[in-house]
Amino acid sequence: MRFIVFIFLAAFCSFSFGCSPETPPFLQDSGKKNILVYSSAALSNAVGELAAAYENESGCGIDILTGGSAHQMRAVQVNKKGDIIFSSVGDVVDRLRESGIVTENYSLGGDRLAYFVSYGNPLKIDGKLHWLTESGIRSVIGSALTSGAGEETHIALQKAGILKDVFENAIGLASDSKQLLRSVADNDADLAVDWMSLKYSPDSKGTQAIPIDSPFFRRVTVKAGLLKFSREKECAAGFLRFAASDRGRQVFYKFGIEK
Amino acid sequence: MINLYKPKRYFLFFIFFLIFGFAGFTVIFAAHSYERRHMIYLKSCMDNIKNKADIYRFIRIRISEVSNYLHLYIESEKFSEMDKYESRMFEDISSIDNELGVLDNGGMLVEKLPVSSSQFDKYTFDYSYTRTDKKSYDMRIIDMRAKLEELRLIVQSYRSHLINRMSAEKTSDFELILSSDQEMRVRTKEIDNFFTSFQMISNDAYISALSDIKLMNDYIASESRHFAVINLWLCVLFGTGLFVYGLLMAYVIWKVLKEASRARRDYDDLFINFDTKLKSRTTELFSRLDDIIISESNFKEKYEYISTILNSLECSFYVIDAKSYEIVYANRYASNGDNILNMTCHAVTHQMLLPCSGKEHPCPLQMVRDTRGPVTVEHIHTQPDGTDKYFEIRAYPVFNETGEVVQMIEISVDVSDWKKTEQFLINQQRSLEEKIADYSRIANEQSRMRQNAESLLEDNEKRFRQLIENITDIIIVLDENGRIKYASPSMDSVIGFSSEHIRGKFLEDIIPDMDREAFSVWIREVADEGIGQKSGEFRLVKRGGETITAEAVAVNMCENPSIGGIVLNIRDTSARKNAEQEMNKLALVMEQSPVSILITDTDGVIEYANPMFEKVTGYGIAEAIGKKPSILKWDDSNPQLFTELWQTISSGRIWRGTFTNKKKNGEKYIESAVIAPICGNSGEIINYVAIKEDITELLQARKRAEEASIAKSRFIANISHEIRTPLNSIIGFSDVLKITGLNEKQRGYLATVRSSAETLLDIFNGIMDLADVNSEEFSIDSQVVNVDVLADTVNKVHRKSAENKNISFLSYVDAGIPKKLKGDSFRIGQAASNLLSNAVKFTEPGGQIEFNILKKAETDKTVSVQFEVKDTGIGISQEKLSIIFDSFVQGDNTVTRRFGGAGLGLSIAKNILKKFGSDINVETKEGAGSTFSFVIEFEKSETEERPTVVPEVCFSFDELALQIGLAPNVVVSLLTGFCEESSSDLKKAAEELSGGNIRNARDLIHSVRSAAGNLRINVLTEKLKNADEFAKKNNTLYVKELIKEIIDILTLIKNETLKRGQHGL
Repeated sequence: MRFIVFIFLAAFCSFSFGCSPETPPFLQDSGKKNILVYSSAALSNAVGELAAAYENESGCGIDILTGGSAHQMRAVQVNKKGDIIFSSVGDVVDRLRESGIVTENYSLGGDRLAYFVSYGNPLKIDGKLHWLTESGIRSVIGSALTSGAGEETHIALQKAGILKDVFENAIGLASDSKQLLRSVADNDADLAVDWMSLKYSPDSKGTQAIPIDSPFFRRVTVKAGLLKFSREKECAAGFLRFAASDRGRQVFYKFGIEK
Repeated sequence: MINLYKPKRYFLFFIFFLIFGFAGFTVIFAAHSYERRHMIYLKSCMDNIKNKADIYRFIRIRISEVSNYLHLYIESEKFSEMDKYESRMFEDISSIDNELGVLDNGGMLVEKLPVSSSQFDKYTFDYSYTRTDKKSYDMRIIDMRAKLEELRLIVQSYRSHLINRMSAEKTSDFELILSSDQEMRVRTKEIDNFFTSFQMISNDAYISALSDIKLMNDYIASESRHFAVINLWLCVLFGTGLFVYGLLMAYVIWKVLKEASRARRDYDDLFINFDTKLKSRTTELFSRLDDIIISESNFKEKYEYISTILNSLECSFYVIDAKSYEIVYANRYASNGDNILNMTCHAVTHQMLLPCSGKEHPCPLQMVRDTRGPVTVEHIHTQPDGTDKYFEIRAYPVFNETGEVVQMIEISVDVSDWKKTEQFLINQQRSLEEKIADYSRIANEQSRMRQNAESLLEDNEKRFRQLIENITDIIIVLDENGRIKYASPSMDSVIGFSSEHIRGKFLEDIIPDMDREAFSVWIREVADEGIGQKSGEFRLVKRGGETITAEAVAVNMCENPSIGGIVLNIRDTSARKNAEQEMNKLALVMEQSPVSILITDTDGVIEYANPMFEKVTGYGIAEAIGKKPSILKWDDSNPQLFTELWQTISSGRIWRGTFTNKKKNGEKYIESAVIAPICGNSGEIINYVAIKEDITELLQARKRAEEASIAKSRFIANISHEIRTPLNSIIGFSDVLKITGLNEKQRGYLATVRSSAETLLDIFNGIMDLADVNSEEFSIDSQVVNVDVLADTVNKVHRKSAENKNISFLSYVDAGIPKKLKGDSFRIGQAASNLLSNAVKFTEPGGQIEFNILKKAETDKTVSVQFEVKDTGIGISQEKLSIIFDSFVQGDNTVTRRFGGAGLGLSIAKNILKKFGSDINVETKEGAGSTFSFVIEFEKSETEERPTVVPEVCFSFDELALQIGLAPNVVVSLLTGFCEESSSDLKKAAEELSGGNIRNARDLIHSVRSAAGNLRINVLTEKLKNADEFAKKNNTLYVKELIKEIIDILTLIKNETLKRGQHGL
């Protein structure tokens, strides 16, 4: 008898105090510490693979926001949120470090710009710069406002003194390196100037990379930095060091980043 | 018998039935209430998601609006249209920003929607949004915020291009129109992709919100079904429970009635059998009483037997109660015929009221209770005659059934005789030990006193030995033969000979020859005079041969048996002698110094003055001492100067400055003075020293040199035009002469003439620029500077020269540099131009030149820009680096012959940059090239350039005639001619400017300016001066505007003059 009364009382109490009618639906607290990682579009495949490995090993959750390097830098500056930035253009991380936003950074390798043309190179385009100003060639370059590839292309073409001509001839300015690659893959353009490493990306299907034959196109350092806004510093610093470790670098090399 | 436990249980069972029923109803009611509240909450969540979707919808609409406005903005042809679309775009951007803020942080968004064509009829909606999951990041909001910032940058970029295009259209500058259009075409290619990407993000967010709405709808329906099932199950559960409980209740009632019936039957049976049971029980009790009587008789016999044995013992035997200490049993020896039963043991044995206690007289009963075993103690019992008797007491515990000590058996034996013998032996041993201890104490005391005396003696000896060994003076004892008997250890540090080494030798051995005889006489006198001391001074030779001066004091102590000789105390006085010589030298310096030196006390009263003071001021040294330096003070001297002087030197610092003084004869002179405090050993100021120099003539010479320099600059500036004009004529007419049919030889001569004239013009321009930089009129303007335009202007000049020499010319402008800065573009361009000119000059064909403009640093108000000129030219050796910035100097003399030039470019650039507070940095490698760079800090420009409004000009012929000072009819013809010629010249000047021939344009403007100056037409003078200055700074756009205004004014003057002429003045 006493046992029955106890069972009823326990059920009543747990029902009254254990459940709240105002618990938000779909809100599943997995107990993981979530971090936000900004990644250049060109590095997104490598960063995605690293994030999956790190999530399994550490129990931290990683959200990745991809886009052009310059756009990512602006996102960091405007939103003042997030934990780590991976940038194809090391200058972006350096600028953020100078302004005190990045507190710890690592060089992960290098990359350089190349021509991307349709697979098989039907127009027989070589590495010379004049192809960008040829009126019969539908060329696409990156936007300096949002894209790291665009910013680097602008600097190189300005040094070469043909920036204005290239602008005149270009059919459009793409916002990031993935869009640049897509424009050639979808046959919207004959020629795009994009990161050489992307030839190892699944998105490069249907395209072919050609090295640019010009001294103005330099090797660019790929860097990653820890942001001062980081809310989960332990997870963020752990992931950054994981990415900069030998194992992390192997993943970047696999996706075409130069040593 | 009735069981009282069962009714209580039945009552509780019934109460629990009631509680169970109540609990059932409560649970069902609570579940229903929970469901209602949960459904209300889910509805509020649904509203929240709908509001989120609405806000995303607004964002999508606004992005489209901004896109449309941006296209209209690009097509704007007026500033007013531009402003209108710009403000609408920024309104939308601000709204999107606000909406993103609500989505990110939660809050209330107030949206006004128009409900009629009137702009005031608007309905206000409040969209409240609460963000439930604040831990995770909404990446779409982060992305859109960055896009919004980029949108602002795009609009700002268009703005500057649009302003440029509109300004160019007003001034009909087709080059600028084309350039602006091209820039805008490029931007337009960029913004299509940009807006597509922005719309994709907002669409994605909106669709996601719509999907959330659907999800929430499904969830609410599912929850509703779920709660219906739960309610049904609860009703079934509690209904079944109550039914089962009711059945149990019926069963219990039936059972109670049955139990009552059985109890009644049992009572009747018990009453019938009661008598039979009572008889059988009485018989049984009598039988058990007989057995007890037999057993008691046996126990009595045994007691008597034991009692007999105990009474025959020759010692006391007691049985004592453990709680009350009362004697329960005592044998005959113990009671001695008295009745001591029920008396306490301590009352019987010691005649005491309390039990025995303490270590010397322990209570055996207490010990037995504590140890729960047999114990043996000794007690002293005082007898009635006063004697003590010793008893050995043995005690044994008696336990009851539960193991508790209830009684004690005590056997007490008299051991007095044995104890007396033992006490005697102990006393004998103690007496012996005391005697041995006394003897030991006396021996120890004597030994300690002896040790103290020895130690004191040893300390004294040690102290005196250390005293002798550590003094810096040398102590020497000579025996009666003059041999060294003892020398202190300081002999080693002063002379270099150790005391052991010199012992037994003569002191004369270390005295130089010149002093040896005098020393012998002196020491003999000491020996002869007996008691008393005598001092002397002589030199000693150190071990290395160096001679020192020494002072000696000798005491004859031959009579003293412990010393037995002459004691010498020798002191090294070399340092003191040297110091005295230095002092003499310093005194001579003061006396012969070419500057005046004064030393005063702390009140400023002169204590010392050197001869130069007398020579400069005319005051004698004796006359000046005791007075204050204020006797020299010029009457109009600034009192503030002296206040500062005293404040400085009295605080311990050095004062430097100049005085205007007067000599004794009243003549004025200027002195440069340094006045410093002299501090004593403890740091306090004891004197002041003043070192003063008459600089009257020096100042006059400097003034003359400065005046000469200014005159030189003015002369060079004034003759510039006079020299440049004929040189331009030579160059111009050489070109004309070339096409007049000359033969080859004449063409050769003409080419030499032209080349020489150009070289001369270049050198002269360099000299002019240098004079300009060094002149008093050099100033730095603060105007709006566009670095791109500056780079284009400079490049235009040098790119052509470079390409003519087959040199690759590259230029780069950092895109991060703001387009509108404040600074002096002409001067900076001049400096950069000089560096580029050098780079072109010193780079061989096939080489490369880079002109890079880079952003170095940026603050809220300023931007630091680095201008870098990099070439692959001949480079400069490290030895020559220090002289390349000097005027008329080149790195190598062969360079002048090979490349030409006057070596002024770097000097001019350096001097210009000096005015900006900057300097040129050089990195060079001989044969590999050089990099020249400098950094300029620009202010950021807050305002945009807008076209200037042309002021209306008022002209009065009468006033002008009065200004010119000629007869009116002469003035009419003069003015008409002037206006026509000047207008023609200025139109040519405008054409020259368009053609890039700024120098020709300037000459034309200058000639008009001279003519207007001669005629004193003030209304033109200022504008012509501005045109001339801005032409000099390459600001062609503004100069053209000014020329247009001046031509208008000239036309006005001409018309007014002709009108006056027609009307007979």
